[in-house]
Amino acid sequence: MFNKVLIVDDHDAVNAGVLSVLKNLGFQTVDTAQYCDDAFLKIKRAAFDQVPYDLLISDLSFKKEFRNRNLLSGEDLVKAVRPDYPKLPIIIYSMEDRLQKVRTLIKTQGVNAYVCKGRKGSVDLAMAMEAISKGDIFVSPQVEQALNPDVELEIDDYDLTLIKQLSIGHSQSEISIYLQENNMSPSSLSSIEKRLNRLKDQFQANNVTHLVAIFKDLGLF
Amino acid sequence: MKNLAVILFIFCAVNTLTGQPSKQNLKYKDSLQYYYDLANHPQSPFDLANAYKFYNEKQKLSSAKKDTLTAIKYLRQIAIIQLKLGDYYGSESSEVEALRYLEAMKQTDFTRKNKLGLYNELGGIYKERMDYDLALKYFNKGLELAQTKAENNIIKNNMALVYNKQLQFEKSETLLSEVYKNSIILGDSVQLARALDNLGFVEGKLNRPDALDHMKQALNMRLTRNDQLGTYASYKHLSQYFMDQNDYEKAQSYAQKAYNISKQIQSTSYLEDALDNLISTRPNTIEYQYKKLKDSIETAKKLAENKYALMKFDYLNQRQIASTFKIQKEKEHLKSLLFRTLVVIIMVVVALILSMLYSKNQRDRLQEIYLTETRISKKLHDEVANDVYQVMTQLESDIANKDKVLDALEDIYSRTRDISKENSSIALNENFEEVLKDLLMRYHTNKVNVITRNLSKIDWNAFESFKKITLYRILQELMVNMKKHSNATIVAITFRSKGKKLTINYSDNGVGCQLKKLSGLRNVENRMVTINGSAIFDSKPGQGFKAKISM
Repeated sequence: MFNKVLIVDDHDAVNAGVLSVLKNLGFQTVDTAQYCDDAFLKIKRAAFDQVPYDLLISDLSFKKEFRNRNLLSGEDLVKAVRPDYPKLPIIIYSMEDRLQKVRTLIKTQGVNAYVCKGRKGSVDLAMAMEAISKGDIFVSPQVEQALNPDVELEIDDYDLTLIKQLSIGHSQSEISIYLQENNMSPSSLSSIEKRLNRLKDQFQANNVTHLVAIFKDLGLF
Repeated sequence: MKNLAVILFIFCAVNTLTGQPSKQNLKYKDSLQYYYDLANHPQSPFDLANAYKFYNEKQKLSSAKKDTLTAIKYLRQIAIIQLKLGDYYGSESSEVEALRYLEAMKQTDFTRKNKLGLYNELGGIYKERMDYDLALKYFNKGLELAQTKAENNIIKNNMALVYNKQLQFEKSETLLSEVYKNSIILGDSVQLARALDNLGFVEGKLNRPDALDHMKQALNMRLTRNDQLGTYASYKHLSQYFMDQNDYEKAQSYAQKAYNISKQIQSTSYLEDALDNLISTRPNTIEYQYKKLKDSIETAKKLAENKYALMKFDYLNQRQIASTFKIQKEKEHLKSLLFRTLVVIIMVVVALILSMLYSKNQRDRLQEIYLTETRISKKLHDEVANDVYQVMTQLESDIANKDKVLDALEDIYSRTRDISKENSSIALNENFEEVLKDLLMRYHTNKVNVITRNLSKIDWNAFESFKKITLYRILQELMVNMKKHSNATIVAITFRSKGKKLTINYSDNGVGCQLKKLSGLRNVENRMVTINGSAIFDSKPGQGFKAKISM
C-alpha cells in the first residue's frame, strides 16, 4: 500500500475531502501543494532525501497566478515528472471530463488513473488506488468510454449496403452473392449474420425488417 | 515669266477641281460671295489679305464645330489665296491640313475629287518651288485617283510641263500625245488647241517633223475662235521654236505678233511677258544682255526667297507646334489633376464604405456577444439559481435528509458544468474528428445509441475554424436538446461535404416536439445566420426529430 502521498490542488476544500479519504485508507504522510512547480520541487526533494512519494494525485487546471510559473497545468506536471519517475503512480483528480483528454493522459502520458471530481469522487479515488495497487488502470465511470475500444459510432458503407439489399427484399444468401459480385468483403453468410446482429443491437431492432424500418425512419438511406 | 500660259492653265484647272460653290447657292450669303470675289478676282493689293483673314476665321470656326466638309472648302480657298500671295509654304500647309481631314473621312466621290484637286495643287506648288521630283510624286498620286478623261488630261498636262522643266522632252511628248488624243475624243476645241500647241512645242524641242505643223494647226484653231490668250501662247511658242531653229527673223516676227496681241489683252503681265520674249529673239543687243543678267539675278533671288520662306514657315510652324504642345500639356495636366482628384474621391468613398462596414460588423459582433451573455445569464438564473434556492428552502425545513440535499446539490453541480461546457473553448488544434466523436460519445449511453455516418470521411482540415466551432456548438445544442426532451434511444447523424460546403443530417427516434417551444433551436438558427448557413428542423410530437444543417 501507499505510505506517502502528494496532493496537488489549489482548492483547499477539495484537499480536505481527499485528505479524509486518504486517512481512512491508512496513509502515513499526506503532503499538499497548490502549484505544479512546488509539487515538482517537492517530488525531487523527497527523492533526493531518500523518502520518495508513493503516489501523486493532481488536478488538471489551476488558477492563473501573478508569479511566474513553468508548469501551468496538471498535464505539464505529468510531463515533467513522468520521465524522471517512471514508476511513481499518478492519479488525475479533476472536473475535466473530456474523453480525448482522458485518453491522451492515460495512453500517452502514462497516467495510472483518472478520477472525476463529483459526488462519488471520493469513492472513485479509493477504487483507483486499489486498482493501482493491483497494477491496473482506473477511470471514473463518467469517462470510461475514453478507453472503450468497443464503442463504434460509425456505420459504414458495408452496413448500408446490407440494409439496402434487405430493403429490396433480398435474402441473406442473395446478399452474400451480391457482395461477392461487387468485390465487397466479408461476404460469407456467417459474417453477414454477425454484422446484422450487431446492427440490430445498435439500433435496438427486434428483427431485420424492424432494422430496415428504423434505417428508413432515421433517413440513413 | 516664260510660262505664263502654263500658270494660267493651272489656275484654270484649280478652279475646275476646287469644286467652287455655285453662285446660285451663295446669292443670299453676301459676305461669302463678296470674299469669294476678293480672293479670286482681287482688285486692290489688300483684297487677298482681307479674303485670307475672312476665310481663316471661317475655317477655324468650322473645324471647331467639327464641320469638316466646310472646313475643307475653306482650307482650299485659303491655299489658293496663299499661292496668289506667293506663300508657297503656307499654301502647302493648308492643303496638307485639308488632305488630313479627307483621309479621316469615309472615302466617297466627294473626297476623291477633293483629294485629286489637292494633289494637283500641291504638284503645282512644288513645281513653282522647283522641287520637280516632289511635284511629279503628287501628280502621280492625283493620276491614281483620276477617273474621267478630263481629269486625266489636266494632271498629265501638268506633268508634261514638269518634264519640260527637267528637259525630259520624250516623257513630256508621250504624255501630251495622250492628252491630245483624249481631247479629240472629248471634242473640246479649246483643250484640243492647247494640247496640240503644247505637243507641237515639245516636238520642236525634239526636232520632230510634225512640230511646226501641229503648232500652226493649233494657231489656226485659236484664230478661228478668236481666242486671244490662246493665240498669244501659240505665237510665243512659235517664236521660241524658231529661236531653237536659229531662225531669228521668224522668231522675231512671231514675238512681235505676240506683243501685238498682248497689247490687245490689256494685261500688264502679258505685256511684260511679250516684251521679255521679244528681247529674247534679239541676241547681241544690249537689251538682251540686260534681260539675261536680270533673269539670272531673279532666279537667284527667287531661290533665296524660297529658302527664306521655308525657314520662316518652319519657324512659325515650330512656334505653333510648341504652343499646341503647351496647350496639350496644360490639358494633360488638367486631366491628370482631374484623374488624381477622382482617385482621391474614390479612395475616400471606399474608405468610408469600408469603415461603415467595419463598424457594422463590429456592432453585429457586439450584439452577438451581448446575446450570448444574456443567454448564459438566463441559463444561470433558470437552471442554477432557482434550484439553489429550492435546496436552501429544503434545508430550512428538512435538515436531517442529508442525502436528498446532496443529490440536489450534485444535480445543480452537474448542470453548472454543462453550462460551462457549452460555452467552453473547443480544442481546434487537436484532431477535430476525435473532438466530435468525444462530444457525441458523451451522449452515447446504455440507453441512447448515437450513430454517425461518414464522420471519418470528412477532411476536417479543409474547413475554417469558425465553421468547426459552429458545427460543434450546433451538435452540442442538438444533443443537449435530445438528452433533455426527446427520450430518444437512437440518434443518427450523417455528415456530407462537397468542396467547402458541409451538410449534416440529424435524426432521432424520440418523442419529437412542437418546434417553436425550444430555445436551443433558436440558438442554432442564430448561429447559422451568422455564418450564412441554414438550419431546417422537422418534428411533430411522437415522430422523432430531424434537422438538416448546411454551412
